[in-house]
Amino acid sequence: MAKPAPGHAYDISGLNVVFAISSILLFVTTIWMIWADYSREWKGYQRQFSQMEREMTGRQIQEADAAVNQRELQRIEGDLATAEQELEAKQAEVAQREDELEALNDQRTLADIRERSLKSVYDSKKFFFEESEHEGTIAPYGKHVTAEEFEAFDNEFVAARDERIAIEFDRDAVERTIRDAQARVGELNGERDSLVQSATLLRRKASAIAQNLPNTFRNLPMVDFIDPSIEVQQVLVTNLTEDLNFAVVSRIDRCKTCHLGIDNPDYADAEQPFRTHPNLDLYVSGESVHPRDSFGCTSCHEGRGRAIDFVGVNHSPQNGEQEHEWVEKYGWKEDHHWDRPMYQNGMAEAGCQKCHGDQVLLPGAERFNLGRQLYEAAGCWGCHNTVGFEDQRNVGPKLEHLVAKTTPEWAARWLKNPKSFKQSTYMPRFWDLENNLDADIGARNQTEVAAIVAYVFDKAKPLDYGVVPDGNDERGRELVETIGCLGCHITDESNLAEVDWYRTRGASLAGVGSKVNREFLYNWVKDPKHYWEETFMPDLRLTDGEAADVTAYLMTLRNETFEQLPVPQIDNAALDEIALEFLRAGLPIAQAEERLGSMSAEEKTLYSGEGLIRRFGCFGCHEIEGFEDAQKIGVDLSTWGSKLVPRLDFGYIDIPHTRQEWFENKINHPRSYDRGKVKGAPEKLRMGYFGFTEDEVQAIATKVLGQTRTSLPAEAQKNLNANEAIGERARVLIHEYNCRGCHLVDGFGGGIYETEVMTEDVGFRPPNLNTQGARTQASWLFDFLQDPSEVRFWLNVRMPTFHFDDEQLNTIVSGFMAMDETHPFAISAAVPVDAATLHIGSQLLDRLRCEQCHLAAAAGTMSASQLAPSFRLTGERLREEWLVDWMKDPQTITPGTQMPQFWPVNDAGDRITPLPDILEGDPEAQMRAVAAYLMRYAE
Amino acid sequence: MDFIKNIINWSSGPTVLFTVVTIALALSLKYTQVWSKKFAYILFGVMGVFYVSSMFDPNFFLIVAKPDNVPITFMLFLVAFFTWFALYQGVENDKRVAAGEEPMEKQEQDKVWVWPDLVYVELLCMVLLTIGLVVWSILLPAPLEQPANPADSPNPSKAPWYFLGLQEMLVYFDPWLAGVVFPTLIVVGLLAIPFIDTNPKGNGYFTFKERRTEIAIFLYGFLVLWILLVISGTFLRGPNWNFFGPYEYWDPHRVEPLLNVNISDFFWVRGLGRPLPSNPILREFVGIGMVLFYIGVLPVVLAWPKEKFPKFLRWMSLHGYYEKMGPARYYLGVSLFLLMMSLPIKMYMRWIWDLKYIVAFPEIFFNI
Repeated sequence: MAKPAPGHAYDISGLNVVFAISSILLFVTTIWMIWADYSREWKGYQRQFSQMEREMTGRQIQEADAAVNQRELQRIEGDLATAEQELEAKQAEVAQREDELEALNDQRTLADIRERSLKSVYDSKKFFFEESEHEGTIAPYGKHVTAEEFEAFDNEFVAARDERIAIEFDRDAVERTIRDAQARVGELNGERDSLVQSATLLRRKASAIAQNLPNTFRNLPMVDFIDPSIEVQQVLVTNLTEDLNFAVVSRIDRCKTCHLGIDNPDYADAEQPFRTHPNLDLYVSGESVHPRDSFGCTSCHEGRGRAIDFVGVNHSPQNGEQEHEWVEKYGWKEDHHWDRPMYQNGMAEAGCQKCHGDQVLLPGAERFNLGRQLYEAAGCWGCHNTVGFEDQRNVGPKLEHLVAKTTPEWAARWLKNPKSFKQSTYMPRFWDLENNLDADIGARNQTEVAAIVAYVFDKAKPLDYGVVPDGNDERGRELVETIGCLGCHITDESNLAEVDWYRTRGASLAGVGSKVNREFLYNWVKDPKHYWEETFMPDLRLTDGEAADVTAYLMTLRNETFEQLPVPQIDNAALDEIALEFLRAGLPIAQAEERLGSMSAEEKTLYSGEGLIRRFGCFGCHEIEGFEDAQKIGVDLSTWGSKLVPRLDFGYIDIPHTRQEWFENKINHPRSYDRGKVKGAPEKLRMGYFGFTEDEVQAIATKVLGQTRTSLPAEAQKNLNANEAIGERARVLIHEYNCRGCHLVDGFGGGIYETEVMTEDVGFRPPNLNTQGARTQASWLFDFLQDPSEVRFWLNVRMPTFHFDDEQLNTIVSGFMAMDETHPFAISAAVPVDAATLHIGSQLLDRLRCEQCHLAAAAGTMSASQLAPSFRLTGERLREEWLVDWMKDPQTITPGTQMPQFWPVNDAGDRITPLPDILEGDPEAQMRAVAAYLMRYAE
Repeated sequence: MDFIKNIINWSSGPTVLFTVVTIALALSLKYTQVWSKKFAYILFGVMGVFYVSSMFDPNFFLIVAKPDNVPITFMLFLVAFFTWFALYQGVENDKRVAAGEEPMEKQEQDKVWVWPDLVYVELLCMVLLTIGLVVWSILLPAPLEQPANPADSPNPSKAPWYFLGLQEMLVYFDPWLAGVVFPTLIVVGLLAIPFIDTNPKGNGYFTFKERRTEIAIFLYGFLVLWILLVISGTFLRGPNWNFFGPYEYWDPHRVEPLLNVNISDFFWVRGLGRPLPSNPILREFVGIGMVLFYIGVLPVVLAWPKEKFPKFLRWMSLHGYYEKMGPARYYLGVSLFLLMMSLPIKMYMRWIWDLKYIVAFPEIFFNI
């Protein structure tokens, strides 16, 4: 810069340059600031969507126009032209009438003014007149009103009113005349408008969203505070609160700001983020049970509802590929400052549990249902305490009498690797995993297994089985394949992936001959509760001979490969190591070694076995003597979905740091988090390997990720009404006792249907239990469940005897009633019916030939699928109202039934009858007559 | 490159950094010819190159680009500039005075041209500052973390930068001392400066030679005992308050051993091989003695005339100051100075002997 001139401290022209440049920079910066504030990611999406809306509306207008009935439109237009011509012709007259009307209106106005002024004075005069007349009061000076004055004024007022009314009367008449003249035109206009109504509405919409100057102006920077059309869209949900650690606040979800087509079915094929939500009848739309306005979005999907940019909302990528895509496209990165990221695509059902915590089965939530089923069946809760699973019966069988069931050799091979014997087992594998591979420490693994087996067998008590007769295995096979064993069991694991899940609830019988001894098996099939009182296996009322045959057959099912496997043996060095380890937990090294030296081999084995059972937590799934009060060894999973990610130990495993990834990796590779760590044997991870498929892992993850700390206010949760609650309790029992192994309940199940016998002829299938509560009388159902009686004589499958207790019977019976919202007790057929109706009913039965299929015994020429229960049972078994419903439409109650629909509904919606001569052809009356007769058939 | 980074990481450790900076400061105040314009260019050049080239290291970038830390970096450049400026002016003035001229400030007018000069320049400053702030706020939005979770405290949990010096002191001192006593003493000490320092030289003009002691003490206290600790606390302390070099990854799993020992342990357990006495006073008598000596006896001893000291300790005598300032000022000044020096002394005792506390009364939460 040049030297300052005299009298100056700086060179001013130099400063001028600086000023000029900095002013321009300031201007640019200001513009930049306004732009930075104005430009937002979501505005781009909204503009894009507006364009899509304009295109969509344009298309819809075209469609609407095309849909208009042109002939009808032309007719209306023709009539309209005619009517307008007629009106034209009357124009002069109409004009005259209108002049009259105008004059009359003016008159009326004047008359009205006059009347009202008079009225106000009248009211006052009436008041003072009354005051004057009244004895106790004196009217103020000048206000006194005499009777004559009042009467005169009264007459004046009434006259004025009458005049107004008369004018109005005339005016209305003239109005009517004019209207009548114009009526036809108006009517036709109305018709035309309604014909093109949808097109008109669409056009209105199109003009509202058109790209014109006002719409553009509304959204400009600096003026968009007035009334923008491009704005944040949010929904405020006050009862489904969000927990911000120090405050509980209402949920505010701004997702629709970008997901603009979410509730509009027209955008089902649009690209994201505009695509419609799937299942609009269940979610999001105003008519669904989960409308967006009441539930928001984050209550199911989690994420940060208040954010309005892609990254801030915490969208979670599905996999590494999508993550890369998002990093490039949106600059996506993990958010370390929000503890509840969105569930991955497809995992949203984890969010159901916040409100539907009590329910066992959620219609429509397939992944959750599978997850919950697996969580229960695989016994995760056996090691991991979980709220809601406290009272479950142990997943694995009681080991109290193991010595009476199998051999230590079998048990040791099994324990080392359960899936080597039975692929469908849920028992996990604890040895030969990443942190204790056989290749690394083989002798020790074997020793551990053998020690545990030794302990269990040492504690096991024998059972007295009595005499066990011999049986015929051919007859046994026939029995097993027909009487219903295959509803809960399979005998062959070669096609496991295709087998219905409900048939895996009972232990797979493949290779059972290699596992158990004959005495046990005979005793078990005759009376399972003798070995284990809490078993769900029912009693099939086998005779001794049948039981012997079944036993003989099952003993022929062997697993040769398994029998060839080496039996894990105790290695003395390894045994010493293990025992010493346990001893050193309580004693210093010198004393521990001394104790060790004084123990015999058997003592060491049992001591080690006990310690190992305590370490691995076997008692979580199996009842073992001595471990009745032992604490579960796993982490409590009741609120695992809220676990803070920084608290999870990812070890040296390189996976994205999210809960879901950690969890899935844990289930798939339970010991991997030990990799690279220095750990003594007692500190190593202990979780077993279950071998779940990818779908199963995701289902379980859905269940566990949804187990959060969220506690919503009671009114926000799904509160089961009385019927639903009873229904849920019944469903727990239905699940435990595996009713769906044989029956369809709630429309699914029926595992046994896939067996050979049942696929050949569907008539051999156990019945569909749809509407069971409305169908049968409660007392009959109670008795049936307690001690099954024959209903369908042609079935070979037997309804087993479950030996339910009172509570269970009542739960099931009332559960079915509740599912159909019927009452347990009903007014029975004791209501008298006149003989005529009964006679008609009998006539109808003959004419419709019901007894051709509804036979009491002996099939004759009828095939199994055509046969139906005898009417002799109806009076005690079925309900009269249900009979009518059944006759109305059997297919809705039992799809695929051979029962014909005698009283169908025709196209016009009326029910018709095949017998118009009886009871004047009234279908309703006919059905009721039949029902009434059937209820009294036995008499 | 890794080799250089390792060197820098190592030399950023508290022990090395503290020592090196102290020595560098001492040398620069002894050989004041260093404070020249050339030195400024070198200093800022080195700082700039270091800063910019280090930005390519992801770990360094994470620390320095954290929106909270960005202004700290600005301020460090400002601190460096003003320190250099003051000393440079001082050295210049000293040269002029030695040559018989007046200091530069005396040559300036006592009037200032207001219109347009001052006002114009003020306007330009406003405009440029506005531009700077707006651009800064657009590029670095205000940081916002998650809703506070009492179950999830951040690691490391750092105070605002102006308290990080104290938080760093907490490594070496008990919270009572580092959090209450020292800050109070700092404030009291600063308040007391006009009372203690009656040197009339240096009023209204920069100088170094005429106020050597005062400037040296202040710069040591400010730059080394405060700014350096703030730098250490901001940039070099990571999870669990472990030390991490500027290029090291902040691994929250790092485990460093902390085996620090009290004086009473040194004396009784290691020295005499006995268990600690149960009587607290008896237990801590050595430490108490040390503290009392340092605070009570040392100021008095230092005021003795030179002759009373052995030859090699003659330089420690402060008798001259005692004479000049009088007892009141002397004792106040020396006490404050000794208390200030107790910080580096304790730090070195920690680094060399793993000393935890000189006096330890955990019963009453009082430790020195």
